[in-house]
Amino acid sequence: MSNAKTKILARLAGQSDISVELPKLTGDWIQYTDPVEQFCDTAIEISACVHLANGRDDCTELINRLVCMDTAEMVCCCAADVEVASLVLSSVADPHELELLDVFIAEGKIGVAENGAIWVDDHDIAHRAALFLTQHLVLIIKSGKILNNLTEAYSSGVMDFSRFGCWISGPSKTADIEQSLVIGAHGARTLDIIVILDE
Amino acid sequence: MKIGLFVPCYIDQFYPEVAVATLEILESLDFVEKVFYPKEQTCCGQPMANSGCNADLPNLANRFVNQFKHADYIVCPSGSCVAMVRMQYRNYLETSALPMLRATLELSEFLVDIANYECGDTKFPYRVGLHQSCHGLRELGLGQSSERNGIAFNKPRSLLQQLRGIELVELQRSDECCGFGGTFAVDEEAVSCMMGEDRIADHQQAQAEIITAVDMSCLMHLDGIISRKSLQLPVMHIAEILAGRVPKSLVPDQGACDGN
Amino acid sequence: MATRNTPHPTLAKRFVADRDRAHWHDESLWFIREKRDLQAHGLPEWEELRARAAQIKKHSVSNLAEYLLQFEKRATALGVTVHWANDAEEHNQIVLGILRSHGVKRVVKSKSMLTEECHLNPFLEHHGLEVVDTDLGERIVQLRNESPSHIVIPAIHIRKEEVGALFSEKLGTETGATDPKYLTEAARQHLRQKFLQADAGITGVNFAIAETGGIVVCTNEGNADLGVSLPKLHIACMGLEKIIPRVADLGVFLRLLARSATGQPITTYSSHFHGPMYDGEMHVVLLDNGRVEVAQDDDFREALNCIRCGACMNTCPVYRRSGGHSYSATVPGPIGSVLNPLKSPLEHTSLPFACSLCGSCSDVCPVQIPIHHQLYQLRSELKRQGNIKTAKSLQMWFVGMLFRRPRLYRLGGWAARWSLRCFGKLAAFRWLTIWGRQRDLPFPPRVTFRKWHNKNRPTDGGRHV
Repeated sequence: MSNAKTKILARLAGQSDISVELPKLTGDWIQYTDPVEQFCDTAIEISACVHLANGRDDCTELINRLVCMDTAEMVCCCAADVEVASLVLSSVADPHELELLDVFIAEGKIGVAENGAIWVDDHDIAHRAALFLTQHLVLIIKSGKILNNLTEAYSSGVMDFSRFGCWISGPSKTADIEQSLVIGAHGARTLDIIVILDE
Repeated sequence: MKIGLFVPCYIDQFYPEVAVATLEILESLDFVEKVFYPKEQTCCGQPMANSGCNADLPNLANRFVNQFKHADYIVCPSGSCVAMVRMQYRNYLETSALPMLRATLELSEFLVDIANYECGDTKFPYRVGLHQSCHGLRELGLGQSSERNGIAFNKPRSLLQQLRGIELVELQRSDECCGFGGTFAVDEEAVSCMMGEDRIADHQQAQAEIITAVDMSCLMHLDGIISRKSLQLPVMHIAEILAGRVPKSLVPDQGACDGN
Repeated sequence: MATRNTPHPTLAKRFVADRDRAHWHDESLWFIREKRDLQAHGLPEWEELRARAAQIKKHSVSNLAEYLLQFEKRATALGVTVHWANDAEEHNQIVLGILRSHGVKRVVKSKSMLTEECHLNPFLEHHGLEVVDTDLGERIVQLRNESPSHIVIPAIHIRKEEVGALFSEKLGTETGATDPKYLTEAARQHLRQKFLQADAGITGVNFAIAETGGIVVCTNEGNADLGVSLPKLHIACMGLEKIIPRVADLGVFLRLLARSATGQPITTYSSHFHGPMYDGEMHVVLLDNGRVEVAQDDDFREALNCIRCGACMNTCPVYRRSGGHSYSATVPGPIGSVLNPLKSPLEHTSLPFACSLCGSCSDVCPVQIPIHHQLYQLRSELKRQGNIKTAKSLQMWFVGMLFRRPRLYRLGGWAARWSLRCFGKLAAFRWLTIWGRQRDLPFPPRVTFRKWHNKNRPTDGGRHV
């Protein structure tokens, strides 16, 4: 055991026992009559673009018509069953090769109505750098996967806590210069969200 | 019911009219049998305690208990001094004295919670800016602070609203500190005065004719700046307004009373 | 050894003297406070969330050893190397050691108050490494050779014209350009190259999860993620109070953090790192640096609840008007005025007094730290340790003596009223009182309330009723 660890633990051993109980996480947390609608509204408020798709085919069509696709040269899609001409991410050896990535498309596991965030993990994404390096990000989420609030999300059992995962909410932004909001800081300049409605 | 009148030292010395107004209001209540004023009272000890010097507090706390032990309620026209007594004295007193601390109330708190006070026909036909004195608001909970999420209420405001002809103005920052803060006013003179100026400017943009508060200390600080800048914006303690006093430098606008 | 910093009132006075800038600074921060209010008031369970968060933190801080060990075990199982550091010096040596063993030359770093606390940048630079702060605000202050003035918005004290001039000199932007959009784009291009060239990425830690061995880092810009997704080496530096027991606790904290910090429902990126990326390496450095001592202090333990949202700074009427640098501390503002004097009282004596005790910080705090009560308490602590100026103590002893003796009090009161009546309008007198320099002194009446009462209610006084 390292010297510092021994010392820190020894100091902590003298800690007075104030036995504060760890609270339960169940509670009267916010619910929406229509979480999908709330999700879309919140996402728009935080500068994302939201598109509704009826099924996978419609989703493919929507993506191909996105403004960011017009001039895109390097496109990469990690979402299943979406027909977009694409670079195969797993064939890229080094994430630095993604420097010129224009559009990256991925599918989220959960959406949250209260904050417009989508949970994306790197299960199907060989290089997580793609999520942040791309100029434009497209996230797909099934409407049935949209929950009311974060507490519901963490207890949904869908999130995998043995790998990288991230809540993404809107395009990257900063207000570090005089509090004026600028969209497109270091990460994606735009975020398009495709909500696939339940059939 | 016997009420002990607790008069802060600086009100005794500099603003006796506030204590007189408080006394008159308390004496006007039907259920009050007697309002007594212990002559030996001095100061609650806040200036010293604020400076980290609390050696005097045990003595002052015990004197307080002795002076007011016969009172059912102890009422004081200052949120700050009541906060001092209620929050700090308990560290220096026997547990038997603690109920007395809970029975020590700021004037508007007493009027709303205990007396169900009604202002009757009292008029105050002016545009009034209510300054939320911090200790009253956040230590005593006289109202809901703007930071917190909950049902809005405000005891001093609910009293003032009953006055005929009054118009309470809406401030841009509903409960920002005036910058008095006891010794802070001198230790951090520059920031303190800027805070005071900003508060005054907020009341001015809201076109208040008078600033009131539950604490004369905030008003003393604001009035000091108002007076130095020769502005026309008198300050009045809430007790003076409730007791029906007229602002010193304003002539009442008779028309403002109509239809109320 | 420790020297007293320039007192807060001296630096604050300088800041306030430029009244336009002080007003602009105040308004910028108040704007964030208003955005925060919209979010906080829009969530019905806000106060309940604060209460839960405070309880989770209190629980974790009182069971640190258990949770740190659990975290170490789980993180190690995920392939992370966990390091422990007693103080800043050890922390910096550990980081340097890791970087050297990988032959690192260029480091990108996302915002971490802890590395500021340890002065990691100058340390690494001294050892020949290039360290680039990648948060836009931090990059601005780094290029100006300054320290951040706010923990969330490091460059809040700098005007866009100044950023324009700085970028024109350092990044070659057009002279006179001040548009934040243009300047941000320039920084984006400049920092992209830094991300692509970096050999290692350093991040702070917003939360470390004992249950899973993961860490969470929150940013709006995406700089932390870029910094640790391109280079293969990730070093995360954290104070040991950042530990939370369960991953689901994030459901409470992430709902509070960004709402309190910037008035957003959640930060753009809330990244959960569980183990290194494919083919990469991840290290977590756990730092004490005085935190254990605070954890054991019954009066101040709750200060460790802090999740560094900065809301207490945005709401503090003193911070807004005196600027972050007036606190001469890594963490300024209300919570900084608690944390810094706890660690080095002699250096930071003036901070607990840089407060009007208005209590707004305690009401705004998402983890319910009774900040202003702690500041009040600290004042008497400092007095007890003999860190308060003798003049002030003497003055207070004198006033205390008056208040203990009603006769003397009456005499003193008479003297005060008399001198105010006679000299209150004299410039020299006003100057001496300090109060009277910018404010008129009250003009006292001839008769005190006590005298009035003697005359008008002769039977209602005294103890015998």
